Amino acid sequence: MHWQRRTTLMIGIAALLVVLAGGSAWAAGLVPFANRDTAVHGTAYDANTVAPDFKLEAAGNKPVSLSDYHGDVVLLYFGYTYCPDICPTTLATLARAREALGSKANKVQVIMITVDPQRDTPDRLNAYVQKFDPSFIGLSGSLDQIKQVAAGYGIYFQAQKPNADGGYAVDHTAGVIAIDGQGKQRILESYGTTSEQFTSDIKTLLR
Amino acid sequence: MSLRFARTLLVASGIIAIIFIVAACGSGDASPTASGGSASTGDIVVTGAWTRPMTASMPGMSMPSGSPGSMDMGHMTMPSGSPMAMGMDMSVTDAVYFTIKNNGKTADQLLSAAADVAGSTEMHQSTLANGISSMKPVSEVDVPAGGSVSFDPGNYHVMLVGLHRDLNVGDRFDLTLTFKQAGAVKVSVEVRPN
Repeated sequence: MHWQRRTTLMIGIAALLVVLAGGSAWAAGLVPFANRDTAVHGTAYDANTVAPDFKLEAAGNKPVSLSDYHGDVVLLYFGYTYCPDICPTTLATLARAREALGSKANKVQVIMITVDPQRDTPDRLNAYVQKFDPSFIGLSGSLDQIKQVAAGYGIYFQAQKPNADGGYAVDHTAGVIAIDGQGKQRILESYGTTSEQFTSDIKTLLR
Repeated sequence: MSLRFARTLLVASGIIAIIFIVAACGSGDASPTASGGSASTGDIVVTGAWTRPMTASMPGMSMPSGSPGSMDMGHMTMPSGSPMAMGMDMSVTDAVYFTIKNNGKTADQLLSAAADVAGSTEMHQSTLANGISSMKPVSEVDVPAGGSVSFDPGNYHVMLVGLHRDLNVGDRFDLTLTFKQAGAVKVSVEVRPN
């Protein structure tokens, strides 16, 4: 019986060393670490900030509300499909973050709300976001609806003047809003947040 | 020490090992490696050209019903004769990124870009101010003597407007960059997710 206890102790010490090594590597800034208390990479909203609910249209003109995803972490992004740089960079980062979550990914829903409802139909949005991850959904609505939802989340957007071909860019707040399973608006992730940082913050919200 | 505690520690160390592996595999977020095509003409060398996969055909834009004369765009109206209001779909955009190095002793300027895969191309620069992203067209980009300029996500990019065909991971297509001094430089662009 005695040697068994000793073996157990040895294994315990070995494991502890691994943990310490991992911890110091993290402290030295070498690896992103998920279990960093409740500290998050993005900017935390005030406690108990309730994420405003909305009802917009997904592909096939299917109505979708934020409350449909109660229990999941929702990553809300305002963008548009004609956006060649910032939006695809953000969506690709979110796809990688979700991939790194493994089985936990099914508790995470990425929603892109268009800031360009004139050109982005729900079907077009759907085709676009699914290029990044088949689980992503895109929502559209009338310009007034979108304005109202965006304002509720402190999101600014403004279409630029069209060029000679009629094409135009839309200026918009580039951050991603993370909403927890209780429907609380928790973290604003600024543009440039890495997929590792997203994964870490999502894990914090899933706990 | 209880066996249960030892097990917990083992599981914890396993998780850490996994985090190490994931961190090692997932590093290099917005800093693509120079695995894309490269090309050079004289003193100008262009490396690491890449773009993201994108489908050429997407469902068309919405035309608000009951507004035959104009489209309300929030701050302006679109006259009915414009290409957009006529339902012409400029469709899908994508961005090409690369690094330009100027090994010469005189500064050069990138003036334009052209690619057969797209209806047109535009040079843009994304900017971020107070968390708001904006995009503005640029007519030329300086490449200083002995210096380099990176076209990266969130900064300069060549925007492909109206893709003629799907761009799938592993595909390549030609992009011709025209410089004031060096002239035309043909670059092979690699399609990859990031």
